[in-house]
Amino acid sequence: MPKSNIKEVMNKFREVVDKPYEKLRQWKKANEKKMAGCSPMHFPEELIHAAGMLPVVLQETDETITTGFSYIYPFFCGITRNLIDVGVKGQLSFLDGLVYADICVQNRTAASILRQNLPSVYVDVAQLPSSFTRKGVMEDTIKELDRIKANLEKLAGRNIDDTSLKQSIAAYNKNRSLLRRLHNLCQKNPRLLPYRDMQVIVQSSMLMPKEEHTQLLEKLLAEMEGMKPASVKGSRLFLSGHLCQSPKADILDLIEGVGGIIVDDDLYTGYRYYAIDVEMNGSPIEALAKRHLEKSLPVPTRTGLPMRWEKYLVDRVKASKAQGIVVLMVKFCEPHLFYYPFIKEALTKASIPHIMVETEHEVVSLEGVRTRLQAFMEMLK
Amino acid sequence: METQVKKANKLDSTSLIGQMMTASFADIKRQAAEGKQVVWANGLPVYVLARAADMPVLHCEGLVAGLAAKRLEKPFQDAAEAFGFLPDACSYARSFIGAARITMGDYHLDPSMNQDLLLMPKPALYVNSAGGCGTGRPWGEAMATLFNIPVYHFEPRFLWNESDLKDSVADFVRQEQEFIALLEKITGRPYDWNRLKEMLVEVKRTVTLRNEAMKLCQHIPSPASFFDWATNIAAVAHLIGLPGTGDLLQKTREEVEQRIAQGIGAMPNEKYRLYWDGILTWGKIGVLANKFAALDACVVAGAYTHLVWWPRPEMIDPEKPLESIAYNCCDIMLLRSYEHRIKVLADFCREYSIDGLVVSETQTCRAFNSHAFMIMDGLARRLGIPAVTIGGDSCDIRFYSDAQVDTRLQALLETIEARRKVRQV
Amino acid sequence: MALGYYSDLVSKGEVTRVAVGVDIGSLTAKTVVMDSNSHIASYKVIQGKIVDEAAAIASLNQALNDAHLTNEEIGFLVTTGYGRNMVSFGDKSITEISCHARGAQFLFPGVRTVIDIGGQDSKVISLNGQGSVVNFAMNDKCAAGTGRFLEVMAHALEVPIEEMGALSLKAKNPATISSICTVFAESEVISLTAQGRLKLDIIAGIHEAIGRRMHSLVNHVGMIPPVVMSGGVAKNTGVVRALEKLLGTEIILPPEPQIVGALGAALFAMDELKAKSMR
Repeated sequence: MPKSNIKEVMNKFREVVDKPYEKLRQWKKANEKKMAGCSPMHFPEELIHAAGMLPVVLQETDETITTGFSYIYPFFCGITRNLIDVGVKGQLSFLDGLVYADICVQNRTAASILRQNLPSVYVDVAQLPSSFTRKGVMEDTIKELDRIKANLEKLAGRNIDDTSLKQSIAAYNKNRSLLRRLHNLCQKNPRLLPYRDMQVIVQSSMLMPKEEHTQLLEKLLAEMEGMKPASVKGSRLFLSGHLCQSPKADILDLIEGVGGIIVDDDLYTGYRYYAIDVEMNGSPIEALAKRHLEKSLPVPTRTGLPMRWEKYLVDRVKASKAQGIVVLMVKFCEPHLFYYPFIKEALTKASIPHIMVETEHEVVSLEGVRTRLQAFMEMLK
Repeated sequence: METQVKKANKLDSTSLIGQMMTASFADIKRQAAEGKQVVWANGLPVYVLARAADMPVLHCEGLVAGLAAKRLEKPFQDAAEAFGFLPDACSYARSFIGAARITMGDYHLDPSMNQDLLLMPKPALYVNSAGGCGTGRPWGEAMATLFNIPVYHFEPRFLWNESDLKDSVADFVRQEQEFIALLEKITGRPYDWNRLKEMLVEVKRTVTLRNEAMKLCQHIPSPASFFDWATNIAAVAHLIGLPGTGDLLQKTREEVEQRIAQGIGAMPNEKYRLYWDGILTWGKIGVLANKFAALDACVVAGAYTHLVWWPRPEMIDPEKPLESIAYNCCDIMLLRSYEHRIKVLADFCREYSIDGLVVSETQTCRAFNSHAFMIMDGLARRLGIPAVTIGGDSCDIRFYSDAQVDTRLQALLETIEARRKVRQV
Repeated sequence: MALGYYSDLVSKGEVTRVAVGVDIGSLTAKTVVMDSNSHIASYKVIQGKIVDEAAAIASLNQALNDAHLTNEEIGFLVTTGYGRNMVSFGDKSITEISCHARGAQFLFPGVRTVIDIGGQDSKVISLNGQGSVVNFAMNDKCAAGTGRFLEVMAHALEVPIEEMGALSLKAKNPATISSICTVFAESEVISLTAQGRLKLDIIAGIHEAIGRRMHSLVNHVGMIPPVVMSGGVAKNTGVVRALEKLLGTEIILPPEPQIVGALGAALFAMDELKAKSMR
């Protein structure tokens, strides 16, 4: 089997992930469509798609924070500071809209600061209920989704009817199912791709026009499914955490470099993004509301979910037959900070060895992380 | 050479707060021992609803701020750290989750420590109403998980537009109704609406007196300082609705009026009037008050003291208790848009004749820091008021450095002085 | 650790190959040479401003020299420490976490907690009853609670670093240094000096600040006695006393705390040698 196709597809994916804003501008022009960026984690991208716009889940880039320092303290998380920084430098001004789902106070702050500083961009924040045990959350969610939908219609200059919304949901479900197929494949045959490439594939799905990504992904899968399992030696690991943003490739390389075989994950730019489809029957807005309320993985930004994250993790780790778990924590991610102690306790009780690695926007030195990861692998042996 | 060290002239009535806090805490423990169901709460004072249901309420931030002011918070933070907390997490929440671990017997206090003050009664219910701060959610859920008790999360909306307040209040009232139903279920008693109305009479009296007394600080020299009002938050937060709070504030108001009549200021020699943004490092409250006194500067007002706790006393109508509480929980600074904040702050600066802005970086609180730089920039552009940031936190003393604060404050005052000279020329 | 023992064996022709551990830290390079009976034949600590390959080789050569050995007689060499992957020699690299645990377990069988304060980082290692690492925490980004922190403070106070321990024990009224950050703490120290506080008291305050930082790392893994402390800072009695007070337990000190990591590396090298001879 020639490997060149995989390389070619991966290069296309990588191109957009490496320099997202350049590529996005090109697409916007080529497609003659409006483009709306949305915050990671909870915003229903399908709504933007159904309005005939190009949806983009904003990613953290490696850019050094400069102007942004005059807008936000260094003790805010990486993606918050990075988006504020590139925003105030004018790099996001090609967007027609910027829509947030209220996740945490940092994310809300980014929305507010960008709203003040990007006069040409429409900025809106969906205040979807976050405590699910309250009465009337379904009605509240639908009401808020309707409000967002109406505003997106205004921005796009076109109505979102149920049929087009369903078509968009179907397009997203299709892409998600392909990503799950890839995930399962790599679970069965770990190291078929380096994990950094898995991230690139998911990140590019968040950035590219969906249909184009789906096409490329099908091409990639067709070839990968015929590949022989890679020969692997090391310890099986589960990767957890890293909400909102992708872990940097260096960290993933380090984990694999010291002998970690990543067999499963619950990363945002991983399983969390494509784990669950939106229902196709009934009202599509209701289906989106249901996804928000009932059909998401346990997540620390919401409360009143049927299962706590730590319990879910222990089950997933056991199912994946991982020998240990690497908890990747975005520095200053407060929701995660509040769940980590429970995760630590649950893993200890279940005798699952774990290591927590904090990641930062500014990478000073990875030597310390290398030592800790290597020591962790020595511990697993 | 001996120089007389200038000290802050604290309000006498404020010193009563400490006693009231200690007494109320002892009372909560007594009631718990008698079998009453205790409520733990964070954030905004919607928990008066539980107090009216005859449930003793512990307000987490209030309690830990009081302990931090006495430098007793460390064991809580150690307990949280042993549980897996990193210092980046909100120190109010972190400390109280530590307190919960101690209460559950998962972490043992050193026998030499003050068990009376540090051991909490177990809660039967947790209330999260951390309006404007997402931390309340995982915090509340952590508490509910640790104690295996119900939790109620209040979710006031962020007010992106001026017109959003009405909807937000209506939403909040719905949540209050649901919460009251939960209280009835937990206590097994019908809700005592009369008691709530009576309580709101006392609340209205207390917060109105406080707001009036704070407004009197527009007087030059200011009869009281931000540090007095910070201590005084206890009366409208942890102690709110309890007997004696109205009388205390009556005393405070009288004391403030008396000082004005006698020309006495909160600082021995007020030359600069400052505004405080952010929370303050509770463990350094005395140090900070005296530091400003020594610099001839008076912090006359602040967002934490003036714009968060019961900001709408005029909306309190004991006959409409739920709306009254809703307005005071929904219309707080932290839930307001930047446009609104900057307008309010600019008015404030004019009314209180502010010369400069002290922004206390509250390192573990992203809510209070959200717009710090834009506010500094906005006020500088509108009113030409200089600003400075100083390091600090609410309860984690490790983020505070005296040496850094000294330098920064001196720089701020020098800037103010330089501007004055330019104006004179 | 009787020296000269090894050369006796060599002269009797009983041993031909030795196991060597080299710990390349940020401020010191340490080598331990171990014979087939798992006895320490020789060891060497080299101090430097910055440790590089040359310093590592110097410590290796001097240790070999002390044991009257040459390079050819090395059976297996394990490198560890901050520079373990940066040097060109060695058969295998193992992290300082595993090596400190192994070394401490060798010196004090039954140890459950190892606290190591090195120049650039500090760590707390938790061992199970069998001597395996079960958990560890490491301070790898910030200088607070490391040898570097002490160095900065010694410089600010103009006190030789070796004298700090003894001086602080005489303090009657220790100062409080609360800041979490080295830069802030340094300015706190300077302002305490300006306030006329005694150097003794400030040093005691610095030691307590390191103690608190380490206490916090200990908190993350949970402390089970017996506790052993390794690393250069273990030679500072002031830090050790402060930490003992905070932890509420006695801390056991190796006779030569700086070589624990290299010793562990030598023991791992010995495992490899034994495995080889079995084959």
